[in-house]
Amino acid sequence: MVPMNAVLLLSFLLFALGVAGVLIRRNALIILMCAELMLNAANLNLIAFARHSGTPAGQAFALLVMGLAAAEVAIGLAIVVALYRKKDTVQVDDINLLKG
Amino acid sequence: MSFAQGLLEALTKDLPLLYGPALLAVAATLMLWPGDRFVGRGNKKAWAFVAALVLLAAGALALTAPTDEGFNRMFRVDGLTKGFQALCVMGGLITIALSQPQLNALKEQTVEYYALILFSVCGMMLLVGATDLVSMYFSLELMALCIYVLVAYLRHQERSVEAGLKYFLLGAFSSGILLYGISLLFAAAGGVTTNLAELNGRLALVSANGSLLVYAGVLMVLVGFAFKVAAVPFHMWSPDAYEGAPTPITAFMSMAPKAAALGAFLRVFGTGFQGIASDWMLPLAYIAGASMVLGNVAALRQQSLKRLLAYSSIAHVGYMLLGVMSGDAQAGAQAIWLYMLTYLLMQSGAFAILIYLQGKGEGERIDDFRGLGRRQPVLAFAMMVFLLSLAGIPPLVGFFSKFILFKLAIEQGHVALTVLALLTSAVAAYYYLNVVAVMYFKEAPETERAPMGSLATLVVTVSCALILVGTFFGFRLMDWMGRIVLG
Amino acid sequence: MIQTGTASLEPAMSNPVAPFLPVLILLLAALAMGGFIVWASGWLLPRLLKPRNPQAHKLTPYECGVPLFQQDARRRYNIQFYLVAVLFILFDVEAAFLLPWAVQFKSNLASFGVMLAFVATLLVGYVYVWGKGALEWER
Repeated sequence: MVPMNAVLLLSFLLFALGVAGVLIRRNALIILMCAELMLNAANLNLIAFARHSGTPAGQAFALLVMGLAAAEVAIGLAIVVALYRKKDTVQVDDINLLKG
Repeated sequence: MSFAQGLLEALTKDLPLLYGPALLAVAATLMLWPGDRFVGRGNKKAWAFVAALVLLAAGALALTAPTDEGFNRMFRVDGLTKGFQALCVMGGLITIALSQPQLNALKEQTVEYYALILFSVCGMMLLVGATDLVSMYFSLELMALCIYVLVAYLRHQERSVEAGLKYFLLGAFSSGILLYGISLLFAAAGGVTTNLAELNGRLALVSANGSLLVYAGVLMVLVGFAFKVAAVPFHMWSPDAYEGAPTPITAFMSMAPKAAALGAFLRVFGTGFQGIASDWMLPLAYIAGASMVLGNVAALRQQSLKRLLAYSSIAHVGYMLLGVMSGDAQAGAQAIWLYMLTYLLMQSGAFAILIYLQGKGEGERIDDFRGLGRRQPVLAFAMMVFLLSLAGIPPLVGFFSKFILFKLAIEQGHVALTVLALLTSAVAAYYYLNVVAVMYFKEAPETERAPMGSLATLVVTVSCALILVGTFFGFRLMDWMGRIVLG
Repeated sequence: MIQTGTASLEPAMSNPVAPFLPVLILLLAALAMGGFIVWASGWLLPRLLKPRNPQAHKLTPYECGVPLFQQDARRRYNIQFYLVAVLFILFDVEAAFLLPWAVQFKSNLASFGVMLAFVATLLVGYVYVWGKGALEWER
């Protein structure tokens, strides 16, 4: 039996890694990967607690999230490729035409 | 009950709830294939009319849908759903009308543009009716994913792609936070349900003992939503995305997704998480207050009208969050709906004029409005009406919607925030009036007049007329409309 | 150490969350600890311990002296790879929905119809991609 606290701890660590990656890394592709890591942290919670309670709703949710993550990656990669064709870079620091 | 019976019942009983969004999804798919492949090869412009017709039909279907709950209590049609769905459809229609001059000039007419608008409006229509965190999250993402692509649509313009990437990265980040918040709430409630009503009951029990898990989950969901409506401090993407996106899409982003996300905000926080209101009320109050202050102050020093409208929309969101905080969900929904409706009219008119000036080669800078009052008096008058109404100057309709919202907030005891809202409204009046002053009191070299497109003229005329009608009939009309639609 | 085993995979108790409270405190402690270790090992200790003997050769990739004959090790891939990869991801993950359906399938016409509708939707997407010419390698 895996204690639920361990699940929460692991998912929180994954989530923290994802957040830290998004905030620290400057490569658009790696930022994208870290955002996906955050989704997977949530998936872990959903699946573990659905299993814990014995109801399938959370597992179905996680499955759908995987499909969504794929769509998100597809769109993100398309935008990154479009940017790379214009600017020859995927570093977010070089994206400076618009001043926030 | 067998699966077949269940399916049959779902198709006959539940599907009518979704006729509107379902029509959008099916029509957009068919437009992509086989429509574009075999029918519309020569004339891409015709897809604009097809898309507009589909949107109108979907709006009509949504408004006549039965008032019920369906799909395992995942989707619900009530006054709130219908009212906000109508706003989203209006936003889509206005965007299609405003897109024509730019897309024609850049030779960028494609069927995908309209299909993406239809898909994202479909997502919005589902979002405002979602009563389950699962359906809410996925419709939110359907809406957002389409808009990322639309922002980066002019892929040969560096600005557009950059804005698209920025919006996408921050959007993906915020959706990760939102989903993690949802998963924490799901965990805190014991991992059995994602239904908002059930979740509310369970979380209220858990939260009574002071649960960090519930608190963290609700806060993360709040952050996710604040990103989507661009409330301070989660607004960083919005001025850049607004400036870089094709201007019609900027107009779209400031109208339809905001309406949809605020509808969902009302659904999730205004009526859903009432049992744990103590966990999110204070942070939401800070977010609302910060949005009002920062949105208006930052708008003060903008040289570009597009950015000014972006920052001011942050402030308007701050005002509307007051309605979410009201304990009276019905009254809050009415106030926000009316505010959003009038905001949509003013914003669409202002953007129509902005797009017209852009098409003439004048940029979006406020200086380009110099002498507009002399050059094109009718247009300048319309612009003045929109700007004064946005500022909430008394006789105009923007004042009434603000008044209703602030009155509600005072009645609900949010006095300090309302005072802040009033003060920042005064700041807002300054920068809106500044544009009016530039139009009328600054001289500019005479330039030749280009005719305004018929669709843009229509948008400007209709919104200006509606604002003036609203001005004369004021409260009674708005009260009546609020009750009719959200009833 | 704080006990992490108080709640296990047993049916939820009256309040399923209270046991997790210490975990969140543990998380914060873990994060602080992790942050300290990263900081100490990556910044503080090297600064204290490393010998200072800078030479130009130390910056070359092969310190043993083999000269570089190519400055940039990265090669450009054909952009077509990205397109095909993205399309692959999309259709691949959609196939993940087929598996749970197949596991539960009990020769039921209605559920077969539902999956048929889903696959038909995918098919429209596939035909659209095909029609756009995204699958043709040489253009």
